[in-house]
This record gives sequence, C-alpha cells and structure tokens, in this order.
Amino acid sequence: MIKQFFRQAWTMMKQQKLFTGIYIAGTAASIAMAMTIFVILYIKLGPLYPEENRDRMLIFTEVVVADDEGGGRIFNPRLKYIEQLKQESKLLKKVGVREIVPFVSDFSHLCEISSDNSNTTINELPAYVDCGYWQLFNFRFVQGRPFTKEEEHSPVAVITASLAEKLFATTDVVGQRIYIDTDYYSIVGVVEGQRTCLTNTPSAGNIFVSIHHARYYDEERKSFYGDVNEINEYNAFNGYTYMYTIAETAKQSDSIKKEIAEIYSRILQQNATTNKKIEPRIYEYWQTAMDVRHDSNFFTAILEYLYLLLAFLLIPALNLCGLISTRMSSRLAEVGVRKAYGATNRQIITQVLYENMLFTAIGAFVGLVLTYIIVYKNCDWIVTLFDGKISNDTIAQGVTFEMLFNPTVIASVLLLALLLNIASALVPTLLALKRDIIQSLYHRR
Amino acid sequence: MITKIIHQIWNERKENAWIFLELLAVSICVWLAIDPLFNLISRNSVEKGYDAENVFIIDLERYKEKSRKHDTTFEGYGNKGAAEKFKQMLQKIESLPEVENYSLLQGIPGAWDAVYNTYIVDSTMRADNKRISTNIKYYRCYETGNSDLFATYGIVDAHTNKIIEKEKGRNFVYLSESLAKKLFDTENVIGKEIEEESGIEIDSYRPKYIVKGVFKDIQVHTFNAPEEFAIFTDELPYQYGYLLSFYNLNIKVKKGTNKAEFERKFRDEIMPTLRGGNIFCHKITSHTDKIKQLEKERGITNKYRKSIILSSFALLCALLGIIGTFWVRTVARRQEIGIMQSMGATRATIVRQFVTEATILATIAFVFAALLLIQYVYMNGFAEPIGFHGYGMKPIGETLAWRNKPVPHFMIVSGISYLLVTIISIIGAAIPVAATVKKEPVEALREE
Repeated sequence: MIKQFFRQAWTMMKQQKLFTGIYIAGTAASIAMAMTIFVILYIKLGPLYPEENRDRMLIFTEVVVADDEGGGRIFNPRLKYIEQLKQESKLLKKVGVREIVPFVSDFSHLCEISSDNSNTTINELPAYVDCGYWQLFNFRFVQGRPFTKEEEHSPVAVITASLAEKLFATTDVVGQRIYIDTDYYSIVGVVEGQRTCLTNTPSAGNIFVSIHHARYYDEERKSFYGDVNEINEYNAFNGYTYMYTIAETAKQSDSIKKEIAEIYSRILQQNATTNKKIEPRIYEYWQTAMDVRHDSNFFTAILEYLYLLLAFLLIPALNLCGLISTRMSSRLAEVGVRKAYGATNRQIITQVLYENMLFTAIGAFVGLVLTYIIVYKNCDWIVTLFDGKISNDTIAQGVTFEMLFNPTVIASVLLLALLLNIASALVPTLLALKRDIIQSLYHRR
Repeated sequence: MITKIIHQIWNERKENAWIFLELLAVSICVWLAIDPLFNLISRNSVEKGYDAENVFIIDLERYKEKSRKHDTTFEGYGNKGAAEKFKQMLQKIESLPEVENYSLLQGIPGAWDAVYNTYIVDSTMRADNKRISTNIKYYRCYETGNSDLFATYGIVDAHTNKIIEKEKGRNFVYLSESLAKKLFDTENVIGKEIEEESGIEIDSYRPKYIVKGVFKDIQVHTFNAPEEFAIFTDELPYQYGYLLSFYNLNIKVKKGTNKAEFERKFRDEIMPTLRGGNIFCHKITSHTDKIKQLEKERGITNKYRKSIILSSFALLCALLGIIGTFWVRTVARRQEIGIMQSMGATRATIVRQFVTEATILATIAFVFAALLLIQYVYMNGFAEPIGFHGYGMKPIGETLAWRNKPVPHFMIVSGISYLLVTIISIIGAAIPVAATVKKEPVEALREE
C-alpha cells in the first residue's frame, strides 16, 4: 500500500514539475535555515573535541564583593584560594585552572612564539594552565604527554600539531625548545590541532605552559593595576584565573556550585579579613558559551534562536499548507471516488502524508546539503551570528567533520522534516475531507 | 474591475486563506527586519563633522621588556633618545610621497568612544558668572613636527567653515560648537580657559587649557549623533613610551592615491623598516575597515545580517507561495482564461487581472499586519537605535528630526516593507499566469 502511495507521488512529481519544484524548494529553504541555527547551537554547546563534557562542566569565573554603596565589584578567582578550596571540598574531583587575561590597558597581550631552527615568529597568547587541566579535557596526544604536577615549576610546554607544523615543519618535536618571548620551554607533548571552532572556549590555545609561569600569577604582587593605578583595598580579592570542574552527573552541579560558593567565600573572607558579603559565581558551560548571567535559564537564553526558528518553520509551513490546500481542492473528485469505494478518512490522510513525505524527504536532503554549504562557507561569521559582542578572542575558525556530520544534527533534520510535513499536510487534508462524497464528486462535473 | 476581483477573492476565500496568512506572517517578519535596517539608512545620512575617506589608521605597539627586539637604552622616564627616534619614525612616514597629512590621536573619529573627565569653567569666564563643573568627552592629540589633526580629518571651523588652522603649543583645547556654548554661555570663546577638576600638577604641565578654536560637532561613534566634544592638543611628552599605547597614527593620503596599493606597500615594505625606540607600527587599517571592524565587534553587523537573512527568507517564501498558489489557480481557471481570450481579452488584460488579485491580497494582508505591528510598537517600541548611551550622549534616533518621530518612522518602515511584499506578490503572480496565457484559447478550452 505504502509502496503504491510512493509510486503515485513519484508519478505526480514528474507530472507537476512546478508544484514539486516549489514544494521542495520551500522545504529545503526552511530546513536549511532552521538547521543552520541547530548547527550553530551544536558548535557552541555540543560535545566537541576536546570539550566532550560540556554538559557537565562548571566554570568558576567571578567573585562579586559587595561595596559600600550597595553595589558590587567583580573579581576573578585567585589561584592560591582555589588550591585551598580543592583541599577543603568533598565534591570536587577534577579541577583545572587556567589564567585569564584581565582587561588592562597594557600593550599587546600577545607573546612572540618562536623556535631555534626557524625564523618564523608567531604572535599568540599562551594558555597558562595547571596539571589538573589535562584531566578535564580529552586532548588527543599526537606525541608525548601532558605535563605533571612535579613539572609545574619547570619550563615545559604542550603545543598543538598545527603550531608544531608552523614552527618546526613536523609534529615530531617532543624534547625540542620553544620560545615564548625570550623564555624557552621544552616541549613534552603535541596535541591534535583543529578544535572547537570558536577561539574563546576553555580548551582554546596553541601553546600550553604551567600557570606558574603566567604573567599575572604573582601572589606577592599586589595587583597588576598597582602598576598604573593606586593600590586599593579590593586588591585582596583579585585573581587572574578561571576554575573548571566537571560534575559527575548533571544533577550534582547544583550541590557543587553551592559548595564552591560556601567554601570560597569563607576562604576569601578569612584571607582578606573582611566582613563584606562575597558572592562567588559559578557558571554552567552553556551560560558562558551563550554569554548570559549565571542565574539565567536555558529557555530565556535561546529565546532569540527560537523566534527565528519559528519564523523559519512557520512561514514555509503556511506556504506548504496553501499549496496542499489548493491542490486538494483540485483533487476533490479523486477523494470522492476513493471515499465512494469505501476508503476511510484515515486512509486518505495517510496517503496524503506519505505523498508529501517523499517531497519533504527530498527537500530535507537538499536543505541539509545547503546547511553544510552555508556553515562551511561562512563559518568565520555565522557561528557568532547570535553574539552581542565579538572580540578578537571569539573569532570563529574552520568547522570540522564532527561538527557537521553527527547523529544529533541528522536526527534534528529528520525531526524537523517530519514536523514540517505533518504541520503542513494535516490541516488542509482534514479541511478537504470535511466535504461529503456527493459534493466531492459533484465538484468534478 | 477591482470590485469584480474583490468578489473573486471573496468567493475563493478558503483557498486564499493560506496565502493570506502567509503574506501576513511575511509582512510582519519583513517589517521587523526592516525596522533596524532603517537605523542604518538614517545613520548614513548624518553629517559626520569630519572626512575620513582617505585616512588610514596605524596601530602603534611597543616591544615589551621580554621581547627579543626590546632595547633597554630607549626606556626610562624622560628618555630623550627614544623621543628623538620616535620623531624620526614619524618624519619617515611624513616623507612618503602618498602622505598628505598625519596626526597622533587618542581615538578614532566614528570608531572609538572617547575619554571622559570632569572640567571646571571659572565664573569669570562665563557671561552669567556661574562656576560650572561638567563631564567632557574628548580626544587627546599630540602634535609633532608637521602633524595636523584638523587637516587629516578635515575638521572645519564652526563659523568660517574652513579647516581649522592648528597652533603649536602646550595645553590647547578645541571645542565643538555645542560644547563651547554649554561651557561659556557665549559665542566668543577663543582664549578662554577650562581647568581639569582632578588635575594634579605633573612635571611642568598645568592642567589648565586655553580654547583655541571651535569646530562643528563631530560624530564620535557611528551610531550616535554628532555631539558635544573637545580635542586637547599638546606637544609630545618625553615619557611617551607607555602613553603611546593609547594612541594611533592617523595618515591621510593624497586624493587619487590607489588606497589598496598604498595599504599593501605600507604593510609589506615600509612598516617592517619603521621603528622609533621601542615603538613600532603594528598594523595598518583603512578608516572604513576600522569602522566595519568595530561594528562587527559590537554585534551591530550581526544585527543587520540577521535582519537581512530574515527578510530575504520571508520574501523568498512569499515568492514561492504566491507562484505556487497562482499556478494551481490559473491551471484550475484555464477554462475561464480560454473563454476570456476567445471573447477578445488580450494577454495583458488577463495577466493584469491576476496581478491585481495578488496585489489586493498582499495589501489586505499588509493592512492587518500593520494593525498588529502598531500594537507591537506601542508595547515594545521601535528597534533600538544601536549606540552607546550615557554621559548625555544622544542616539541618532533622538536627534534625527522628523524621520524618527513615531508616525513618520512607522510610515517609512511600513512603506518600504509594503513595497517589498507587493513587488514579490506581483512577480509571483505574473510568472505562472504569463506562462498559462501563452497557450491558444482553443487548446485551453479543449483541455477542459
């Protein structure tokens, strides 16, 4: 029976080329636009190498210290206190720390990266991380290994394969020297290069060295701001790090957040000898990726995406409804005859749905191909299309195979196509079926 | 004929309902997308108060202490050797045949929010004898050798309309027309003084500034209206090493210079040879590109991209929908078309009838959409004019006279949207009808 429906649809497709063309083009446009939004979201939030635990990742980025005017000042966590937090916490298992560059009116933050055997100099910001960092992200090592706790004070570095290729023309560089400005580091590991597309994710960077070599990590130094501005009482709270951790289950996140907040505020109050109200803010990965507040919910954050998605699906759905409705009225006689010979409404609806399914499937396939072309060709701007602010740090890089061809994306296409098919075919068919047999047959007279 | 067509639309109301709904949705989407784009059109029509068409911005950088290229002999407070080297670098740039003018400025007109500080005007300086203290937004400019900010950016005197002539010296300030009026409450302000409120006497600098000129208000940010503004000029200080991190070199090239070629030549051939102490030229960007870059960073470009994508998509869908609906409809009414043709109706008459039908449909849909949109605007307002608000700055939307008053704004955006939707509807209806009427009437009648 189904085979017959498809055969009929196929014959109709060949007969009514314009109708078919418009139907498929409409579906393809809709699917392409909607899927582009899905792919953007997937690149931002999906489990991508090496951040495969994004759904459970928590990022501790801010500490708000209440000021006298009833407001609050925002600081970043300090490495020394994070170490203390790790010891006192019961829930924290894997913890990684990375230095962040505070907004300062310094000259370029970029360092000159170079090697002994080439004249090439690359201007880049090194990633300063601790040894725990390597347990949080599933970096695939092409050569060597990550640096260990014991090596944290030694000049060792892990670099990406792409940087190795640029500086040494090979990835077999373990043991070689690499320079960050005038300091040299010996390479202990090389990781796979092309990663998360966006350059502001926790795993971004091409050269990783221990946080103990970071410019801003200097407990004795009051504050970086001390160089240019007056030293003030708030320097006691300041730090230059982000802390990452992974909850064992998504549910555990809340208790971990609570624990970090409690312990960190206590540590800070003790160390800074203050009674000021301290509010550590721990973000979930998606909150940082979408650049929203730490207490915002997912639905509000993706509202803009949903509005667009609705427009991308609703307009073509109305379009298809109109097409099917007009066609149903010209096929009333056929419906009448089928009804006269005993076909039930259900059978007729099934037939129309299957017929349209064929068109929708073709449309969905074309749409998916279009999505890939759109994202691939425009990945430098399309991934950040929904970002309110784009700094140089967020510029998108090329997309990888796994970002486009993965079960989530494919499943979304199928679901969207099915939704579009049902939404656009069901209502017009039901309306057409309301007429009785005599009326339907009379129409043909 | 119109009445007949309206009857026709009413008779086929069930079939028309879907396309009507689609046109309604498309009209709303297109309107919502055109609204922010309207800000872009508005912005481009604002008089900027400067001319940056031939200006290039060069970012200055400093070899850090850790850099392999860092030279310690050029460091330290009041290092005259370093200042000399830096001046030599500027002279090299000045001597390039393409260069007409240059200046060393903290800020890029149109692309960079300026610095703020509180300044005092003494009671003796004002007509009403009131001492005032106010926040001033400004750029600071260092004049060295032949550099000339006003010539570089074509900033003109508010009264004579001629490019302001710079004066060499320390602690001068040039005020914009509206700021001068605000500060001194009089037109004649040359020679008057303003004082930095939190000023501490450093070196031999007195934080008092003499007014040397009045220029027309300039647009400091592309999305704000021209505003109250000040430009402080000074001689290059000795402790410039650190200070220069805030400054850009602005080069104006001569008219007729191949700008792309100049940019390439400067980047690849000249820039690597330039060095002034530990300061070097890091990047050259045209003023136009710098503005584009800033708009991208601020998410402004994204906003427009989204608007354009949404409106194009909605219009494409409308086109497909109309073509489809009218194609099926003309096929169904082939007999009618055949009869009309055999009774002497020309092809043009028939096409006109269907096109009018589509236009009426689009118009009715748009009227309904407009009614809904009025509600929407009443509740949410128009798309926000993008820009930096605060410090008394006015977004373009508030200052662009009649264009941005609610009624004209709504009418303009609606007019553009209606035009787009109607054009698409006409094209959509004309394509299938034109194809059908090509057939001979006999053929059309026989098929029935």
